[in-house]
Amino acid sequence: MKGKSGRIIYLFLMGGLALLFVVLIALDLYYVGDAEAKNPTYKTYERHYAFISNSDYNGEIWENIFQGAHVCGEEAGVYVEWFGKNLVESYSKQQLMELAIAAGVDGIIVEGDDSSEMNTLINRAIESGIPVVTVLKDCYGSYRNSFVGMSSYNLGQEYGNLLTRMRTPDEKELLVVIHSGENDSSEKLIYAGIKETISGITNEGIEVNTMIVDGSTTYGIEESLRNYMVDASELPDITVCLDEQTTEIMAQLAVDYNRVGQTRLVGFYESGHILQSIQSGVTAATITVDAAGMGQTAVTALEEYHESGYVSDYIPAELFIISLENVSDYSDSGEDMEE
Amino acid sequence: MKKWYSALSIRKKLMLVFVSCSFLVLAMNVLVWNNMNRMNERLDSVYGSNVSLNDLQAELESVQMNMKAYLDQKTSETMEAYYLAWSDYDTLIGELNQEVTNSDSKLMEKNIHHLSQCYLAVADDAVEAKRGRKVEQYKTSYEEATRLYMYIQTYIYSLNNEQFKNNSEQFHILSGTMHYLEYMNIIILLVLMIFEAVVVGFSSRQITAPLSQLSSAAGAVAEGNFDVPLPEAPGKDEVGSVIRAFNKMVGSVKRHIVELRQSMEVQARMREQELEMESNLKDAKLKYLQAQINPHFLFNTLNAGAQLAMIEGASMSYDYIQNMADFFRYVLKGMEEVTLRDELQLIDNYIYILNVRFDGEIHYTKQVDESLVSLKMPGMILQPIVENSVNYGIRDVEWEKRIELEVTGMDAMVCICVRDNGVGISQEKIDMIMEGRTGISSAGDSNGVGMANVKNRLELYYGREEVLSINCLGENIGTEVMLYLPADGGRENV
Repeated sequence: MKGKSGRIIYLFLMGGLALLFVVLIALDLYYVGDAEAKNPTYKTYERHYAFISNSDYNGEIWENIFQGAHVCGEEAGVYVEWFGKNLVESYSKQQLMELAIAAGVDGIIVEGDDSSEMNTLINRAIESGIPVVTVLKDCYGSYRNSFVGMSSYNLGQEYGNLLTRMRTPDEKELLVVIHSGENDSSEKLIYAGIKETISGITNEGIEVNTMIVDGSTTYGIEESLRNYMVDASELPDITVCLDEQTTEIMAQLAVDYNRVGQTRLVGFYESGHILQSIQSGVTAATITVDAAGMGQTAVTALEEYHESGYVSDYIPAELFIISLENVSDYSDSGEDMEE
Repeated sequence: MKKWYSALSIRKKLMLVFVSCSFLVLAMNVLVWNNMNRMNERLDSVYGSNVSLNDLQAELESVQMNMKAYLDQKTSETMEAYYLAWSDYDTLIGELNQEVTNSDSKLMEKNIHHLSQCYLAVADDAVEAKRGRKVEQYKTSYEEATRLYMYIQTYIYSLNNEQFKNNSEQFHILSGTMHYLEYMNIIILLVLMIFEAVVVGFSSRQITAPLSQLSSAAGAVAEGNFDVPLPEAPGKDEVGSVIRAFNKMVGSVKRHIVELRQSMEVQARMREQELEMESNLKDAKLKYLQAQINPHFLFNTLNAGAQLAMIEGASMSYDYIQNMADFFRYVLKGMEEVTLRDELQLIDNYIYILNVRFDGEIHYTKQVDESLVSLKMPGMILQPIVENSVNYGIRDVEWEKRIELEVTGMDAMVCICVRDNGVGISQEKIDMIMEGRTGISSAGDSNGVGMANVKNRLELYYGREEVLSINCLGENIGTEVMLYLPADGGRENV
C-alpha cells in the first residue's frame, strides 16, 4: 500500500510542478510579448487642424476653446493640434501661422488681429488651400473663411449696459484698460462701444477713460498695472478689463496692494481665479463667452467648408454676465475647468 | 503508454529519462536565450528613433550648408554636393510618418516631413534662382529657406527631446521587465530542476522498488520462510525477468519441500507398519505358541504327572514337575507387573529345572535384602538375564559354574546384580544389547525374551535409560549385569 501511496504522491508532485512550470513559461512569454507590444497603437484621423493662440499668455479661455475644438474634432474624425505647444522654442502667432502653412495642415483656427502680417499669412494660407477660421478676435480685411466670436463693438455695448446697471449714482469715473499695440483695434472698438452705450443711456456726465498698458508681453502688462496700482492715489470708481489676463492681474494686484473696494472691477471671462475673485468681492462682475462652444463651432465651420466649400462668414458667440448673484452657478464648472 | 514503457529495458528507460530531461533543459535554455535576445533587441531599438533623428538633423545641416556653399561659390562641386545632400535628405524624410495620428511624436514627424518638403522646394528655388542669376529671388528664397531650416531644426530638436523622454520611459520599463525576466528565468530553471529531480526519482523508484521487494523476499527465503509474499513483476525488463525467475524458483522449492515431507511421512508410516508387523508377528508367534500350549491342559497334565509321581512315591519327580508347572504358569501368565519376590521365585524354579537337566552343575547363590522383595517391577526381567548367563556365560565352561544374585538397597535405589563366572562378554555385544540391536533370541533354551527386550521394557516401565548395565569382569572370569530400580517403584515420565 505504501508503494502505491508513494507513487500517487510522486504523480501529484510531478503534475503540480509541471503545471507551475507551464504557468511560469506562459507568464514569461506574456511579459516578453507585452514588452514588445509596448509600441502603443495610435488612432489615425482624416484631417489635421492647427490651433494657434497667442503664445505669450495662454489663459483658461484658450484652453477651453482648444478643448472644445479638440473634442469636437475627435467626434468628427479630425485631429486638432495645439500648434507649437510641443516645441522647445516659443514662437509668435505669426511664426506659428507660417509653420502651419508650411506643415500643410488641413485647416487653421487662430485668434485674429489687425496686423498686416496676420492678414498676409491668413491670405497665404487661403491661397495654399488651407481654410482659416478666426476665433475670439477677427482679422478684418483678410480672406479668412469664418469668424467665431463676438463683434467688438457689440461687446462694448454689453459692457456699457452692464456698467450702467451696476453703477451707483456716486460712481461716475470709469476706466477701461486697453493694451497698446498697433495690431489690435478690437479693444478700441470695445471702448467705443462702452462709451457710446453709456452716454446713450445716461447723461449724468460719467467719465469713461482709458489706460494704455504695454500689451507686448505678459510681464509688460503686469508691470504697467502694478505701477498704476502703486502710484495712483485714487482709483476710478469702476475699472474695466477687456481680457482674462488683465482681469486676473488687476484682481490680484488689488489684493496684493490692499486696494480691494477702492475700485469696482469688471472683467472678462470666467477663469477659476476670476470666479474666486467675484466670490470674494474683489471683482464685481465679468462678461464671459462659451469658450468650449467657440472651439466646437470653429471645427464645425472648417468641416462644413471641407464638405461643401462654404461656411458662414460670422458665427456669433453668446455672452454671459457673471456677478456675485450667479457666480455659484459657474463656480462648479469653473472648478471642473481648473481641474 | 504504460505497457510500452514497462516493456522497455532498464537501459532504455534510463536513456529515455535522461534524454527527456536534457531536452527540457535545452528547450528551457533556448527559450531563455530567445527571450533575452528579444529584450536586448528591443532595448537596442529603443533609442533607434533618436539616432535616426540625429541623422536627419545632420543631413538637413548638410543640405543647408551645401546650398549656402553653392549660393556663395556656384561651382559644380558644390552643386553636386548640394543635390547629393538634397537627395539623401529627401530619402530620410520619406521614412517619417505622414499620417495624422493622436501621437504627439508622430504628428511632429508629419509636420517635419511637410516642412522639409517645403524647405527643399524653397532651397531648389534658391539654387535655380542662383543659376538663373536672379539675385533678389535667390536672396529671398535663401532667407525663406533659412527660416524654414530653423523651424525644422527646432522641430527635430523638440521631437528628439520628446522621443528621448518617451524612450527613456520605455527603456526604464524594458529594463525593469528584463530584471523581472531574469528572476523569472531563475525561478523557472529552479522549478525545472525540481521537476526533473522528481521525475528521475520516480523513474528510479520504478526500477529500484521491485529490486528492494525482491531483496526482502530473498532475505526471508534465505531465513527459511517460503511463505513470504512474493514481489510482483513490474514489466518485461530485466528486473521483471529476475523477479519472475525468483518467484518460480521459490514455488519449485516449496513444492519440492512438500513432496519431500510427504515422502518422509510415507517412509515413516512404512517403517511404523514394518515394526507393527514385526510386533504383531511376534505377538502372533507368542499367541500361537500360547495357543499351542493350552495352559489348562498343560497344568492339568503336569498336575496329573505330579500326582502320579506322588502315588508312585517319586518325590523328586513330583518336585520337578511342580517346579515346571510353577515356571510355565508364571511365564504363560505374562504379567506386566510383578513383585521382586515373584521374580526371585521364578529364578529358583528356573535354576531347579536346569540343575535337574544338567545334574546340579549350576551353583546358584543369592543374597537378598528381604525388605526389598515387595518392590514392584515388570515381569520376566530377571529370568532372561539369568538365562543369558547360563546360555552365553557358563554353559560350556569346564570349571564350576556359579551364578550369584544380590539384591541390595542404595540411595533410594534397589540394586539387583546377576553375576556369573563364565567366559565373559565382549564390549561389542554389550553395545549391541545396550543399543537394542539384538533381535529375538533364537537360542534353543530361550524363552524368547532377549536382553534388548528386557532393557527396553525396563526403560519403558521406569521412563529412564539408566536401569541396566552390563560389565565384563574379564575373559573367563565372568559377566555382571546390574539393575538399578527405584525403591519406591517410581516410574519417571510415564
